[in-house]
Amino acid sequence: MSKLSAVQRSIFTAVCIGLCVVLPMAFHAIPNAGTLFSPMHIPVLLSGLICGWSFGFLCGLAGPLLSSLLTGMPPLAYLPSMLVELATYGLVCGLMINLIRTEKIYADLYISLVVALLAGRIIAGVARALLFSPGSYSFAAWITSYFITSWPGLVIQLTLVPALVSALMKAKLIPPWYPTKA
Amino acid sequence: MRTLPAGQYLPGHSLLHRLDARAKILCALILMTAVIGASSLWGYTLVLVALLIPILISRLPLRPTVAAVRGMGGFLLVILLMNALFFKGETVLASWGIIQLSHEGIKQGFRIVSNVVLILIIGNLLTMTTLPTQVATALESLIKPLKLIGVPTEEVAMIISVAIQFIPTLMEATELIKMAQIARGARFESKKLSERAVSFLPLVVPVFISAFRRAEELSLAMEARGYRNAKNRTRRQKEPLALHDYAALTFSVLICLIQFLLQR
Amino acid sequence: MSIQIENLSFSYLQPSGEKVDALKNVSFTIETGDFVGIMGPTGSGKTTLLQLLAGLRLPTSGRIYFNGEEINAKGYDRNRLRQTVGVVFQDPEYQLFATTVEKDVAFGLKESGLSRQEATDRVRWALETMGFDFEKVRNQSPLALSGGEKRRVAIAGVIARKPEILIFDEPIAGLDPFGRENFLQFVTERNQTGTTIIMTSHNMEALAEYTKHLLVLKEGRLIDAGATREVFTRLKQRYNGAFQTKAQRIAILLAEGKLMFSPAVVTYGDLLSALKQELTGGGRG
Repeated sequence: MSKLSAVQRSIFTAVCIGLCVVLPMAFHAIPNAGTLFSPMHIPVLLSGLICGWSFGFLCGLAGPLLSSLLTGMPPLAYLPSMLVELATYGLVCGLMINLIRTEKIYADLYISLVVALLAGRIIAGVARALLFSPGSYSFAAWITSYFITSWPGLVIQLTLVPALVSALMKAKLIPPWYPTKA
Repeated sequence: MRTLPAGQYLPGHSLLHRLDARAKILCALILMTAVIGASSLWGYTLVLVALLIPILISRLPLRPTVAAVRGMGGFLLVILLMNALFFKGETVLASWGIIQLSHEGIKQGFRIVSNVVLILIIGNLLTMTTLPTQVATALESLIKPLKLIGVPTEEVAMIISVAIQFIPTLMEATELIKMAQIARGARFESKKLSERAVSFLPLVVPVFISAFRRAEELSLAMEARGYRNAKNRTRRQKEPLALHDYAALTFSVLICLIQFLLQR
Repeated sequence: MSIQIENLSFSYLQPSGEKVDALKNVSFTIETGDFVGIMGPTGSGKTTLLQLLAGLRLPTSGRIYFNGEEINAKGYDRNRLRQTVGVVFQDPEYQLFATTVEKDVAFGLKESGLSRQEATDRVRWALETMGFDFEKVRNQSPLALSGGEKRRVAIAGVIARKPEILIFDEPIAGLDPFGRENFLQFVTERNQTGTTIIMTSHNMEALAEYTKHLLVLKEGRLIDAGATREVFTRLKQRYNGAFQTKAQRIAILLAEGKLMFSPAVVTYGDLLSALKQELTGGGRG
């Protein structure tokens, strides 16, 4: 990923932000798809993994914001906690993927994803408890909304994101993670 | 052929269309603050009446403006009910088991619904009278102060305006991809979770591949034309704000102030 | 599988409230085993028509019948519809997604009730029909193939289901001459074995040489339909020559130069015969 030029990273991130707006709409028609795998999370995670932590952070902020403004999803009232959550995902997985080098792509990806998804949920939970709905946010509510009802989404994200990275590498759109020693 | 559901730009010559985008964004934010600050019926009435002015000035057809709200009707009803029936209020009107209908609950429900609707209308007023590219340029100006803490604001603004411009293309591609796979017999309902995850691959993979493919072409084209970073691009001179912009800003701040005075 | 379209219309609303009529009152019949070309300027509604024919969109009004059964009626089995019609869109990347070519082509066979072995044989047949060496290509990633190969894998994925009707949207646009000829040969072969072929194209020569019937769309309306030859002859002088084949254009120029008068020319073959006759026989006034 360090092989990508600055322009490439910028434009890839732009496209991920665009997808944050388009994907939820596209999956709206499919029953349960939106609530099930939170389509907006995927471009954010990808931009963090592929372009780096600053781009992932930007995608996590701009994606939901733009989506809310242009399509009304998520409703502006719910935007703040989503911004915190997704920006953290983008930031953390971008950092993690740079730090973790197990020589196995999938291991790197899974670890970065799990840490990012966890960190995002923790920080969003803290933000909600302290800033957004002070006094009415409990630990139980946090566990329920972020882990219990959305665990199928977690599984699906953990399946889809590595599959997408692999597909993008095969299509030679992103450089291979570990360049084969010539 | 699919169009963005709500808030898409409608061309026009009204005063609202002619306001500087930067002023509009600031007004929108200020008015949204006024909405969130409302806590009594008078507070909401104030904002509603205040909003009537820009709505009338904009000469926007009523249907698209409220279409989004109608579309959310079901969702809003759910929020209202969830709050009315489950909120832990003191003046309980009726209860069945864990469900308790309370005065506070109903009020809270209306509060949230009103917030959502009003904020939606404000947002719509902004996006329906301002071209996305104008919004993007305005945002770029407004976030300039962040440069002081090292944020590359020009780059950020470029990324966001490219993102906005990509959206129609991405939507069209996604439509065609869905059709291509449905024609091949793709199905998205499956009982087992693992199968459900995999069943999204035929949709998600082509969407990202075609999106990144376009991104690659664009970035190569930009580099071929000598683009290195957004800082060195030539820009149009920023026009200073006009009288009507200041008037709009003053109006919004006034509404917000009245709102906070009402809370005392 | 005969297809009958009755008064088909499709419109949608722009966000500004403006109504766009993509298709207006289109009616025609396609018999089993036909090879139909659809031509018309960009934006004339060709892609919309294909999507409606494939049952991927619902018409605003009008009816579509497959063998006399209305496909959008409540009781019609959507699975049977998907099985009957195969659609290949212009960009193969809109379709390819799997980790191996074999898995991608087999994707359409999941609900077909074939046994594992039968499915593999079917995949093999489809890929070999598209000119691939099955053993070499089966485990490659479809995303890593060349453009032409991707197209052929996408087509293989659709023909593997053995649909009775094959629909192609701009299948030869942007192909080199070899790719073009290979594709046209392939669909001709499919057509000879009984598959109905419907394809849109801007390539007049390809349409003239290979199709049996033509549908001509302009601004959402069907402005002409019929046997290929007759349609090209009727349209020769209209719409600023937009629908002329190159052979027709040459014949017109020769006629204007008073060198040769042969109004029946549509294809290169016709032109050659007319020239032969002209140059060896005697002139026709």
